[in-house]
Amino acid sequence: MNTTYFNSVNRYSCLYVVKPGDTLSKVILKFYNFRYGTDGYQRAMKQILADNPTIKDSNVIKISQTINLRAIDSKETSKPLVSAKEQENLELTMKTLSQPEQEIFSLLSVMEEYWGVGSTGTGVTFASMGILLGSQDKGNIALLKQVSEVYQSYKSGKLSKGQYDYRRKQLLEKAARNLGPTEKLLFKGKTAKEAMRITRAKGVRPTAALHGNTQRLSTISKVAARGGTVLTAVNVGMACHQIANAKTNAKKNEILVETAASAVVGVMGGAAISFFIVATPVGWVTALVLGVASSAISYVSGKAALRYYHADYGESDLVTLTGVNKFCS
Amino acid sequence: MQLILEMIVRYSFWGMFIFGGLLIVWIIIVGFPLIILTPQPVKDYWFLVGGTKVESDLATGWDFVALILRFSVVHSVAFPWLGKKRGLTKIREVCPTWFAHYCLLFSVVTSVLMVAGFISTFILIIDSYFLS
Repeated sequence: MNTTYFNSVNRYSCLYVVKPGDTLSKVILKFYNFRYGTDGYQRAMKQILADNPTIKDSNVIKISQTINLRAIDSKETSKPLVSAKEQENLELTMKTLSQPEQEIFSLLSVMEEYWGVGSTGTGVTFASMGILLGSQDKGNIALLKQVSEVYQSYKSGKLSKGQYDYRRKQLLEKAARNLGPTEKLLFKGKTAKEAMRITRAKGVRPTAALHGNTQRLSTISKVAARGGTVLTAVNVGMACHQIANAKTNAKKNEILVETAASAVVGVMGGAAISFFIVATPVGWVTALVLGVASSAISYVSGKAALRYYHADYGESDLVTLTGVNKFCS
Repeated sequence: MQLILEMIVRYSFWGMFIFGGLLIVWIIIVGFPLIILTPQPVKDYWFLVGGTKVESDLATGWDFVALILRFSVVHSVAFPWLGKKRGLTKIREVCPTWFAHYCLLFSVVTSVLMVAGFISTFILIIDSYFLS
């Protein structure tokens, strides 16, 4: 297979999530660059159907379904890319996300792809963002959503102009207090008050800005809260898969050292955040800063451990010693 | 001197994995039962007095967000002085003695492993990126 076409769009480059409008022919063209009717197309189709027993009919694939993809005619591995449970979790998560949210999930995954197994601790950062924002039904996003509801009450005559202004001010001030210094970051350089205004332009829904901002922050939050856990679980699964398929023992050991270092430091970061949240009432901001820092340290420590391992323990077979070889076979 | 430095770095390499690994095991074996056993009055007190509605809503389930918040409740019981800014210094009044002792044991060991793990990690990072 031409790897140029088997691009690393995201962390799930080998676990493709079906989008609206996708067909297997389109997937084959996108990832393998084989057009319908060619020999390559037939081989790719045969392999995809063999690797994905859930696809009963090649003409029917469902949105958010995940498809295992691997190099054409490559040796079939005995162990799937991720476990059936992880695959099911990923599908469930994707189903609850809207199309734009799925796109953002994929974009976040690019970072994982770029950072590789060293980014196992990234989940903590996502978790911090999830804490910061809440969701449509709870937290700061729920507050922002109420601004639009208050406006609707005002328009329908249930609230006077004075009542509407007062309630809007209260809600936005509370949101601003909760978000702290990250307020401007999340509202693209504006304050919540400036961003959450009624749109006066002709031909545009008055609540367009309110709705747009609420939706955008909700997307970031959902992806962060769910994505952190899912990405970390899948990341560990991917590392196991990479160990199982690495050509040399040295490579297996490198993956193990980097992943293990990153994972343990990620957990230490999470533990540190739980202490900081107790210590400070503005835990949102602290948590976010610590989350990003933890993720970065987790990545750097993975690389540092790998460098040290190369220099001093290059000959040690940790994969066999720890039994990971058997576990990830 | 060089030999001592090399020895410290070697210990740090293994220390990071050992302390981090022990921390994971400790959290799974001791921490998870602890957050399951957290009495309802303690949770109510934490979120009503020191927390917010947002935190209360988010502290359910087993994802990272929920776990971080649920362990925060445990640390507050272990070290009430730590929650001074949140007004949680009297949190032990609403929890049984056995739970307070359990939390203290958990949080002390967690802090020790975490600090030792971070020290090892930073020594390794400094050696890898600045000294080697």
